[in-house]
Amino acid sequence: MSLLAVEGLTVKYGPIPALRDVTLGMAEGETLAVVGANGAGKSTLTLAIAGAVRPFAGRITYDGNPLAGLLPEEVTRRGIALVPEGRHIFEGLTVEENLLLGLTARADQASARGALDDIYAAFPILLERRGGLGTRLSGGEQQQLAIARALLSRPRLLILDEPSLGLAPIMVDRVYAILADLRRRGVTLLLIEQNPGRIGEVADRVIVLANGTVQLSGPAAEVLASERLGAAYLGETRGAA
Amino acid sequence: MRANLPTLAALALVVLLIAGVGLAAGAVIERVAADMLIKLVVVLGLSVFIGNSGVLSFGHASFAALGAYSSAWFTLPLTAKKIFLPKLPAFVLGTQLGLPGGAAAGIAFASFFALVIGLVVVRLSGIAASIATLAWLAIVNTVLANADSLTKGTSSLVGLPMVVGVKTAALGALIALLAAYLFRFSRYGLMLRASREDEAAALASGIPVRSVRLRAFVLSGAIVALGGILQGHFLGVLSVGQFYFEFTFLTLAMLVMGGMRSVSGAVVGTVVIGMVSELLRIGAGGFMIGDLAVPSVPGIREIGLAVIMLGVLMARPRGIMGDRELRLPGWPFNTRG
Amino acid sequence: MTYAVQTMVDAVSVGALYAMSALGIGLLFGIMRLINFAQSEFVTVGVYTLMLSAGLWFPFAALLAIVVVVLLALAVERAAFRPVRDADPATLLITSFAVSYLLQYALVLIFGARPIGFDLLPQLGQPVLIGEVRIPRLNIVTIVVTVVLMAAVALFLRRTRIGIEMRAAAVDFRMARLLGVRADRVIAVAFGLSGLLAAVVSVLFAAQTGTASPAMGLQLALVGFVATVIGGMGSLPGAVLGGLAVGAVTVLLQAVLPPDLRVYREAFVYAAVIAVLVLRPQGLFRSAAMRERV
Repeated sequence: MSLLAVEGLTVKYGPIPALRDVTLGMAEGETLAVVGANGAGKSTLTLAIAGAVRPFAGRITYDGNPLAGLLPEEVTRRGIALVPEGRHIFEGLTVEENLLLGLTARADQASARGALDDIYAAFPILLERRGGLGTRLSGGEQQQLAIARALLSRPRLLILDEPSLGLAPIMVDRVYAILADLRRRGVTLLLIEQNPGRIGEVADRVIVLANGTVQLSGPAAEVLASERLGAAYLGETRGAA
Repeated sequence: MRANLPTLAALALVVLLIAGVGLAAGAVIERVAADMLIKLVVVLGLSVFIGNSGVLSFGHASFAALGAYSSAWFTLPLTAKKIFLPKLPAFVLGTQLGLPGGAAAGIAFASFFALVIGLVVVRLSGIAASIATLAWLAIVNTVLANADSLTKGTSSLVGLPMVVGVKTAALGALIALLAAYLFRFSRYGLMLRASREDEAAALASGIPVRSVRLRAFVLSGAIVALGGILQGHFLGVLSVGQFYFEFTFLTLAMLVMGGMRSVSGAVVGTVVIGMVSELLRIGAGGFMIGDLAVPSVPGIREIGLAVIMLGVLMARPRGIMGDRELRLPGWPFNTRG
Repeated sequence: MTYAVQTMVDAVSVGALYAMSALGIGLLFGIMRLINFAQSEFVTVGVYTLMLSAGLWFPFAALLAIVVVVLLALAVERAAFRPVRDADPATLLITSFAVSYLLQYALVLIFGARPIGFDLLPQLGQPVLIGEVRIPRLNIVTIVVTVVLMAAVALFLRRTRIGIEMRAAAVDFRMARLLGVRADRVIAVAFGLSGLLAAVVSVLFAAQTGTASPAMGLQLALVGFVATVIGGMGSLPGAVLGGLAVGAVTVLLQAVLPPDLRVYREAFVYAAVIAVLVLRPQGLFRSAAMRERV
């Protein structure tokens, strides 16, 4: 059974459509990568699923229930966590305070302290820097903080928007190692990337988005090997790989 | 621009209609109509900058004040001037102009200050620009309230020739309407509205956002100054408090409630709030039921007005008109563009 | 020397009052991008409550003012601001204007437009002699109360979960909501807290002025907006420091300006504000690296 189903999703900013008639589905435990050029509508897709922008048309169903009309905080409380592009570490808050905010959406607060300890075990750098300001961390450390913060809500579906953007290669390695680990542990991942270079390591399936529409979709190996990948990026093709 | 002529025609008709009703219905209504048309001048002035740029200004009441006082320096009768404002420069003390001359002087004076503060405001973004205009309003208010030799300070300046009636007010409103319309659909107006939607994109496509904003700021300051001048010569009295927060609040409310994204919004907002406010004034103003005198209750009118405004904003957060313009049905150029 | 010390104490106590106003305004501004003109009436309503309860045991009267103003702030949020929360800033602003107008004229309707004099804690008017320096008790009380209240607010914002949520919401409301922070709750608490601050300001202000008049809160609110912006938008410590700075500059100008320019003091203060906006658009107390987020 699919965990997330997006059907005919259209989102407009003013008169300009950012997404047009996008349909996709995700099974529990699956990792889906959405790739596309700058402005293809990838971030809009994540924000629409998270309830932060209102769809113009179409429906989004999660775990069998429609998400229409839910506030972002309610969507998060149902088990969808978004790590948005740019990480959004809170200025003026310490690393630990940033993490505590990740616990807000948890249903059972009793296990919160244990969850924080688990996160510190998995991300030792955050334990080391827990009392310092989150914005003082390096880019890669901030990305780890953003992911850790999202994980603290114990999501069933984790959405990551460009987690490797602007990071040094060694940090990209670290981020992808974390993603691979999450995948092994059965977390459903929706991964957004501009550059398809690394997604083969983690993605089960891949969707190529251009001009707000799905250009190409299929199993990761096929899409990434497809000779139409380049054309799909430019929005010059439609269909399956 | 031609495609929008039906809008201009419809709005001009509204102005003439208000003036016509005012002329036909006797002295009380005439004053109400004139007051509404003067407010319309101010609100149209606001819409030139705020409506097109999307940047809120709290400071435009200052231009109404500067325009009104500086025009009065020239239109006050010579004898009155020597008594009330003896420290004015000699050439001002010795000159008396009619309303057109005084208005020209007042608009020039206010526009100069609009240019000076505008240079600062357009360098700032969004909320900082709004707060700068708020600070500017406080500065002008403080200076005018204490510059006794120019304004009689906190007491009222009386004796302005009361030469503005409903006809002059209607003429002023038509001028303001034409200016607002021409600007909105000019090259500069289009560029400014593009910057309202997406400033970064506008800059990237080569639109000189600051200089376009500055033009709009000065033009809108000049129109608001005209409104202040008309008000001064309609009431015959000026006081510094006349052009402070209440003035700012009411005129901004008219603009936002009508819908700040269209010229029609400014007109509709002014007319609706003007009428509601007048009805409330009559209702709260004390009246007789048979032999029973119902006394006036201070505050009722303002409370009613505030409640109605809140209701409208909840029902229509983008104003009564939203993005739409009024159009005259059956107009020969009615080709949507 | 004594004059300098007295001026300093004055500057700090005026700054303290402004800092509390600015914090109340800064909280709402940070979270909702709302310039809340009704903050002015929160203070005024507090003063009228104190005027009505003059003669009662003072702690009780003060508590009553706090309860009334906090309830008013919560009611205003629920009735007027919640329905337009997602509208653009212009609509929010006119809403706050309208609420302010409504409350102000409600006071006119009930109490009339004329100022009403009353004496709140007359013993505060007597000065304390410290060596050569005469310092009004009220100034000392103002400074002490502000320090205590600020410390309490700081503890609340740092040590409690809802406090951390509010700080997060003030810098990045959307991200906070994406983490599950409930908008309704955070905004209601922010209004309650800004009501509390306004009430405390009203007690000190009433003791200082000894009158109640319908528009008396405006000056404090104006300073609050200005302080919030020059302190750096969304930064709560910035708002507090901004308030202190504006207060201190006002008092110092009063002391330094030649007598015939003193009446123009406010004009100089606001001109300085404009200069800060132009020269340091990121705020007085922030590094340039933390410019306004897009």
